[in-house]
Amino acid sequence: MFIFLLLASVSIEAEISDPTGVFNDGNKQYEEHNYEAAINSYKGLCEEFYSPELFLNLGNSYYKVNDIPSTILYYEKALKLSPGNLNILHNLKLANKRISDKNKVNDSVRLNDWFFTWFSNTPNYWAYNSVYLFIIGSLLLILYLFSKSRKLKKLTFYTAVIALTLGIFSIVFSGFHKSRLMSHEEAVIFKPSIDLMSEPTENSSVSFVLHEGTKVKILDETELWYEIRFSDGKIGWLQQEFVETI
Amino acid sequence: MKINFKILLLFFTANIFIVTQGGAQKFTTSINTSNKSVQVGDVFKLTYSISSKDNFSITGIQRPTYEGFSFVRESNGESHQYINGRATHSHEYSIDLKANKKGTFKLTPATFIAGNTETKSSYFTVQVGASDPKLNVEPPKNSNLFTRISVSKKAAYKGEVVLVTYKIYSRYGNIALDNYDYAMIDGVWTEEITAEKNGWPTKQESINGVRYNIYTLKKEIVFPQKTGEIIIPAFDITARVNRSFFNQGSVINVKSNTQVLTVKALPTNAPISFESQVGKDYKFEVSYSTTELKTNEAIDLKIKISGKGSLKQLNAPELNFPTDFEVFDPETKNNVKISSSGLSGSKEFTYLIIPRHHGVFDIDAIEFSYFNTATEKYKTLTSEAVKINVLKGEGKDLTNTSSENKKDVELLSNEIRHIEHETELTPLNAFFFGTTNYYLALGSPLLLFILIFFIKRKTGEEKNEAELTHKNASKSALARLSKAEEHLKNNNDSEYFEELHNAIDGYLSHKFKIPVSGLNKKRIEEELTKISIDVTTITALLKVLNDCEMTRFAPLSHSDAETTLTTTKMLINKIEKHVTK
Repeated sequence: MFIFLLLASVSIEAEISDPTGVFNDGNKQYEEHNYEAAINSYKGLCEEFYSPELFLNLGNSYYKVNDIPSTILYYEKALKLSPGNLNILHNLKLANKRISDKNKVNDSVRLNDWFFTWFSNTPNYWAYNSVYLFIIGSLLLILYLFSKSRKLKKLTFYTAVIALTLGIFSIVFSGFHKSRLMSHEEAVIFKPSIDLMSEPTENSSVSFVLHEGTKVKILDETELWYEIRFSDGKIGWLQQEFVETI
Repeated sequence: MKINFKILLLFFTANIFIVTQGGAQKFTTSINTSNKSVQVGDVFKLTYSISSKDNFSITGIQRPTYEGFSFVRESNGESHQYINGRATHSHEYSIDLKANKKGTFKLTPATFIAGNTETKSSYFTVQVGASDPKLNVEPPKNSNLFTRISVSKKAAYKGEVVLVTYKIYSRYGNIALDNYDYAMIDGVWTEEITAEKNGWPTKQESINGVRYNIYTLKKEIVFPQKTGEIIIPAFDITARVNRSFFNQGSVINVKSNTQVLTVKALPTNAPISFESQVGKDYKFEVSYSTTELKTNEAIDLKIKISGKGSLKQLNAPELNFPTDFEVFDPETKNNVKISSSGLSGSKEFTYLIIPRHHGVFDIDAIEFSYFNTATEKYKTLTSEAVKINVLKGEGKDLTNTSSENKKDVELLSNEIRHIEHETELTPLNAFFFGTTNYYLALGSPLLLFILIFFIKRKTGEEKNEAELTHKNASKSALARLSKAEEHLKNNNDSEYFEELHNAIDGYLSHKFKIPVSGLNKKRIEEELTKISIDVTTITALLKVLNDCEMTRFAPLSHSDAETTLTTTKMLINKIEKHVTK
């Protein structure tokens, strides 16, 4: 009993009392072509909530007002939550046509994308799942202790083992997803044209130049700089203020 | 405006000789201009002559740069002269240029390559004066010979036909044309009218009381292709007049007037089907060879457009058939006549159309629009809409796209996919995983299980002990009884009774889980009645116990002792049966 109380206490106290309402407001504004208002609605929601659809819709709104770097940032965020989502990939492809740098976009669905899509539920989903499975497993084990007949003992024992194994998998998924969401390994450039330096100092030499909307992979960071890698393999340093992490 | 800029000089030393020392051969180049007074809009000829004593041929010419002029045409010629035994071989290269603006222009030298030598002409300066309208309009009236360009109309719509006639007016008895030269007209599409067998007929006409013979040199119809002013440049003739057997006659150069056409743009409200036709009396006929047929059979669709106007520029109308029809490019039959009144006749387009799928198809009316010059309005001619009934033919229906030219469905719109309406919003940074609550929630059911497991094991141990003694009660009682029996055999009566008493007490205490100290007659009676043992058995048992106690004070006989043993055995068996029941 106390376990369920505990679970109930996890539900969060948020400032936005009706997030779905705000989301629907944004959708309505989008459909009325009031994209600026839609961006405001979605953006407010983003400060406390996340979902692939929210990011996709926000990206769409930015696309409509021609803010391509933001569009790409939110499409990438959406894709991170829901890898292999064909709608997001389609839109991202269109947005990528509008930027200057030819970024190699992997639009084929990779095997691990399928894996992610399949298990793309949120970390909390898996966390709750694991708890429920553990409760079920434990109850079954207790039942096993008290059961007299051999048949029942066998049945309860094996189902308990299965439930606990699935529970352990759920724990792994939850942890895995959480770390994936928490880590920011990629970023989108927001400066129209940016010099990529060979070292993390302003007076080092320029290695190459990238333009806004381009996605880069973060390799390393100092207090103010990121070391990044462009899709063609070039590596350079840029100031953190000019990029947004995905 | 006293002197106008009239002539403005332009006389140019017609002979600038340059002697080029090139290899073995000596070349002399000279430049001549046909026109002594060049004005804006005039076309003039520059002639480069290259001569040498030896025969030669020109293998390459590099034109001068002619900024301020536009190129009209070029020509080549050569001549060989023998004068007093001296040969002169000369090549002439002429270039016609049109003066575009006023000013002084310096042409760079032209380069000629003859054999392996390169010869350059000199620079040539041309001064161009402003055009003087007066000069061009009226040729000298009393002149015996003049030329004229006349147009059928001075103002026309773009694409409307205009007849341009080039004529010679002459008072001479005979006249022979040595040379004539028409310049190209910019911004028009031209169609020359071919003369009859004997050329254009000669006419007579009086101008200001003076009789002229009029020879038509050339007639052409032009279709203006741009709006604004179109200049028909003057043409030049060189004529030899009064030639007779004794007289070589005299050579006269004459330059004609220029004409200016004002071209109006067509109104902007053109129908969609309007393309290029400007004229009048258009007719539009559409006929289908059949409107009911089987799939993969053919329909001939004939579209005949006739009228007076720019028919030559008429393109096949584009048909808008359903995709289940395969429409082949049309065959075109031209029946267009060129006459002084313009182009007239018809154009016939025959389309081969093959339905690839059965069904009843509505074919939209086909439209044709033209600009009617008579009413100065657009006019649209429409055929009737047609229903084509395609019956199922033999074999399979084909879709229009046969397998080899099948294409992937192309993405037509470059538009992003629409927003999503369903979502499950997850609070940011409210991860359940990794929190203390999570581990508690995860661990507590397991802990609960472990707790229960241990509790159960402990209680299980205690219970087992009692269970064991309970189970073995009769066994240990029987063991005691056999011990008692031994005592009996050894005539050890008091020990025998002692043992017997203990056996019964122990048995009862184990069986009913009552401590030996708590055993008394009343308790024994209660417990035994509880498990419904008949009263005789109970009294018998109590009697045995009583006897045992009695023997401590007054010993019983040996035989009596033996009977108590057997009754006790019997009683224990009896109770045992009841308990296990």
